[in-house]
Amino acid sequence: MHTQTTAPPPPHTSTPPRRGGRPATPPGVAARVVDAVKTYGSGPTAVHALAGVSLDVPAGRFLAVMGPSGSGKSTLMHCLAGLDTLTSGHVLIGDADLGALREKQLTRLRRDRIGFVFQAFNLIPTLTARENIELPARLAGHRPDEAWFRQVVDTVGLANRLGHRPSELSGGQQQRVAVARALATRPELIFADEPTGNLDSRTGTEILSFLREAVEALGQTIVMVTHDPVAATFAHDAVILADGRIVDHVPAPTVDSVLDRLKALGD
Amino acid sequence: MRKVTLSNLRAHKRRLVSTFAAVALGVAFLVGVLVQTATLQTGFDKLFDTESASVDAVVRSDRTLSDQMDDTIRPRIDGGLVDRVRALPGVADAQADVRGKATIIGKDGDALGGFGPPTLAMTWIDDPALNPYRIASGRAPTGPDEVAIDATSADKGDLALGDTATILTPDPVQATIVGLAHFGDQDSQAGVTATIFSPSGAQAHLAGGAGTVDRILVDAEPGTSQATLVHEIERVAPKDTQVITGEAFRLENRDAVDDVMGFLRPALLSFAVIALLVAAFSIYNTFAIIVAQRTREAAMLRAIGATRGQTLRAVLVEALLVGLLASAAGVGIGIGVAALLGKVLSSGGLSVGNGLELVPATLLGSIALGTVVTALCALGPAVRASRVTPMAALRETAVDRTGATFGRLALGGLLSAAAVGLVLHGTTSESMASAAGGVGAAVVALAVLGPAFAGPVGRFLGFPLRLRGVTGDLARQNAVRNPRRTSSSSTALMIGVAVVALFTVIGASLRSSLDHTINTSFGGDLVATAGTGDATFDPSIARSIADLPQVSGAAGFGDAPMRIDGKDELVGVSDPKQVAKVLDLGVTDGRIEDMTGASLAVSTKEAEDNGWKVGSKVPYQFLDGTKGDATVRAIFANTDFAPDLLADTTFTQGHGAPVEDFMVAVALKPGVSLEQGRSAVEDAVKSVPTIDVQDKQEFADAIGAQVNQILVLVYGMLALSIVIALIGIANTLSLSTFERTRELGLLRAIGQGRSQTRAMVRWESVVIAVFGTALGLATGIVGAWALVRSAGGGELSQFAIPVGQLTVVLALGALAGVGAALRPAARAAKLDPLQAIATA
Ligand SMILES: Nc1ncnc2c1ncn2[C@@H]1O[C@H](COP(=O)(O)OP(=O)(O)O)[C@@H](O)[C@H]1O
Ligand SMILES: [Mg+2]
Repeated sequence: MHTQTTAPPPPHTSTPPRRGGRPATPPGVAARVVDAVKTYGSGPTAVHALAGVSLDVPAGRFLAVMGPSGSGKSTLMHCLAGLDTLTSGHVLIGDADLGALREKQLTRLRRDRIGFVFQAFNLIPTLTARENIELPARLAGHRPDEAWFRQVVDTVGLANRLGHRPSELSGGQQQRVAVARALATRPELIFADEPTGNLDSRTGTEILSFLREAVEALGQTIVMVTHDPVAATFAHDAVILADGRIVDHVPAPTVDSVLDRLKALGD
Repeated sequence: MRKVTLSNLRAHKRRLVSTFAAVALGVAFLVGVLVQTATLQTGFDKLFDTESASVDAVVRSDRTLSDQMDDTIRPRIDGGLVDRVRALPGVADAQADVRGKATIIGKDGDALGGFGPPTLAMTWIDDPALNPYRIASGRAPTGPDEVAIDATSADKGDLALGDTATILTPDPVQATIVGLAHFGDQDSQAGVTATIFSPSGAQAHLAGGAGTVDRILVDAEPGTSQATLVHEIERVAPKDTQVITGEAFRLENRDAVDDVMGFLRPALLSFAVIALLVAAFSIYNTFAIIVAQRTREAAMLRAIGATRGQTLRAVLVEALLVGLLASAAGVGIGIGVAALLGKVLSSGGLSVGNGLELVPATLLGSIALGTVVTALCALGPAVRASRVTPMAALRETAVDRTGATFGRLALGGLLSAAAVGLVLHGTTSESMASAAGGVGAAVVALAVLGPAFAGPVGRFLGFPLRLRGVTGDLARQNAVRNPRRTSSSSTALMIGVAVVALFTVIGASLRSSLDHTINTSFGGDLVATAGTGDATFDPSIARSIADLPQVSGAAGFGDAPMRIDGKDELVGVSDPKQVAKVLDLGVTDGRIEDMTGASLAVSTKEAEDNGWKVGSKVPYQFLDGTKGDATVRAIFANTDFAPDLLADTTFTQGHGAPVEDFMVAVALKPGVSLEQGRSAVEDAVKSVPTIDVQDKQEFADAIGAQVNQILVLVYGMLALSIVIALIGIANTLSLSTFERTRELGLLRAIGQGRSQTRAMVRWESVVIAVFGTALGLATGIVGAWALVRSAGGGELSQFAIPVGQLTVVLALGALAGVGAALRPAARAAKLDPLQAIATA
């Protein structure tokens, strides 16, 4: 069984092996999307949620995926994370071509190599904050790495909330637990879908700072879906989706630059 | 609102399937029992009417005693009366009927019948008006050693026309089978094993050649009324006889049927009631969950203007519709159940051979009952739904963690106190009714208090799941996250298991009491029993065993109906010279050996009740009218084996009722091995092939086997209740997993494998099932203890817990949990994580 008890090698120095002649992501790229198409339905009513997306997710960086509602952001993220399958095209994470993986292997990949932060309902209500954070490791049958656990918990500032259940935590605290959970297994990639969508702006800013901190201090790779230009400013890069295609790329996004590009879509 | 209800019904089809199943199965069992018992009742009535359809008057003795079954027995009367009656004006025919017991030995040497329907000997009467039997093949018996037997028995015993068979009356008679008889248009009279002797044979073998008859059956000339006929006969009938009309005779027979049904019907009905009760819990639970899940919907409806009454009605109408449809289906299934029950009963020898008796009132009543039960079970949840405020639509619905409200605790406390009080009263004052009431109260108390301890107990029971890692942990948390739901779905199982455990423990206690009795009170080494059911043998057998050189003592035991001090009693009879050699009676005063002639030995209890001492004179009367005073010669304390009244066999013989033994207890001389003794005794009883010679252990085992047979029947009757309970658990799980869709999706997204999801649901189910089973076991064990302790010794002197059997029940409970989880777990594992997340 593939297990990952130590931190992955720094993204830039890793050279994923080629297997079975299939492509693997080049060094410095945590995930690669090649000609991704996702079509719902068929015939005249078909919806092309992804209409040919190609994208490299650079390792060790914070990438924002932006775009208007219905542009395919969530679909892209779900396909990247192995929660959904493409109609055509490829998603590569390290040496793994997700389309070639079976259900069991996909589940294992999500468990061991990917972390998630959703907009809401991130936590299991019957488990305490600590248990929620340790959940992926324990599902894998590992004993969580205590030193790392401490570091993560301290980073997100949860040390004195670990014994509480989700219903006893505020929305912001719940999201912090979710971020801690995503970090706890030191995954290759963390996906966050509108992680601040349900929070007030101050708490949202806090969460986004944690995410940025995780990238800067811990070397994580994060892909965040958001439609909030302010949120995007915490990312290193932003890509903009419209009608299932990547229409723009904004390095070091600011509120103004993002708003400009988004506005340009309307024209 | 009606539209909402109907669309709800459609939308929640799957959730209502289990309610439907629970109602339908419960109703089906009820209908099955009602239809089958009605069928038996009419069948029996018809049979007994056939038996005496054209009989217009019956002449018999007016002296009666009650036997142990409270049946009336009468002495025979002088057969010379027959000719005088026949000569009377208005009499078309009068015939003597001599009856008795007869066991037919089949070709393989085994006795036919004996359990259930009786084995009867009767007299062939040529006049078809006075004889319900018809010769189907061969001819009527004429010679003293010729018989006709019923076709069913011939079939079972592999006996054919012309065969010579051994008939025990109880003395063995070698008789030639010259005819096979049908009872009316049936092969037999509801499974009665019938041996029909010729009039001369009946005189010789049944009446002992005394010229006496049991009754005279009279057929009237056309135009003579029964009343006139009776009047006419009464003029010639001697003092000790009674003349009744044929109609009165038929009514008497019907009463006898009612007695049988009076036992069978409540016994079967109680199992149907248990099934309905279990179903009620399942129904309640389903509606409670459905309503909880619809809180938002209900609140939304309230917000847009639905009144409380409308919300209430919406749920109730849904319940009524489901109840009605399910009950109707249940009636259909119930007719099948009735047919099945009929097969089971007829394989046990009870068959009446008429079609199912489908009384419209019964069927409609059952539909009404099922519908009402469903509606009542839905009432609580419906009221809760109607109390939902419009605000709830806007609020996030939190997990319902309520365990027990104050009202619940108070009610449960009161019930528990009542249960403890009744049980204590029952055990200290030996009142089984009080103990049983206490056990019932305890079951209700547990059901009421369930939510209070479902949390802690479930967590405790789920403790081993920690070993299964986080999956086990999650399962354990899920099992107790909604204590009220866990408790009500396991309560259904608890009730079924409690009854199973109760019977199992009582069965084991019976067995243990028996072993105890045999080991402490039985001083002998071997027991000779008559084998089948109510078979008996002549007391001379005991005497010939006692005469064997290997035997130090042999006491036969039988009973004789007597009137003692004005009360009808079945007095135990034996040989006083032998009794003390084989039984430890714990004589406190006098000597058993002193009993000669008109004398009695009585138990301390009987002596105390009546103020008798050694030397007291007690008035007695036999069936033939002989009376006098019997002297009390001994008082004994130990009634494990002996009845409360004991008399000398020779004192009671020849007084109208046959006095025979059903058992001989044998003590061997020192130095004689069990094997030597056994073969000697077997030799001595060779003439009666049905006699079994057993050592103590075999004797106990044989009785234990009968107890086990009854247990198997009981388990069979409870199976349906258990199935209903399991459907309930499966449904609770389905609904709970449905409720947790998002949570399951999240777990799958962050890496829970399908098999882990399955395991999680499965273990949750196991915790719920084990919770119910464990509570049931505890209730059953304590209940059995209360009943045993309140029984006041006798056949239930010992309390025994069959650990092995109960462990099996617990293991089966856990396994049933796995079974109940199959579908919900599969569905949970199949869940697409995306779909779950998308509902966010
Ligand atoms: N399960 C589905 N079935 C059909 N259409 C879908 C499904 N999921 C998404 N879509 C469509 O695909 C498009 C992209 O959706 P999504 O990725 O959720 O957009 P975004 O997250 O950017 O709002 C939308 O037009 C949406 O209606
Ligand atoms: Mg989206």
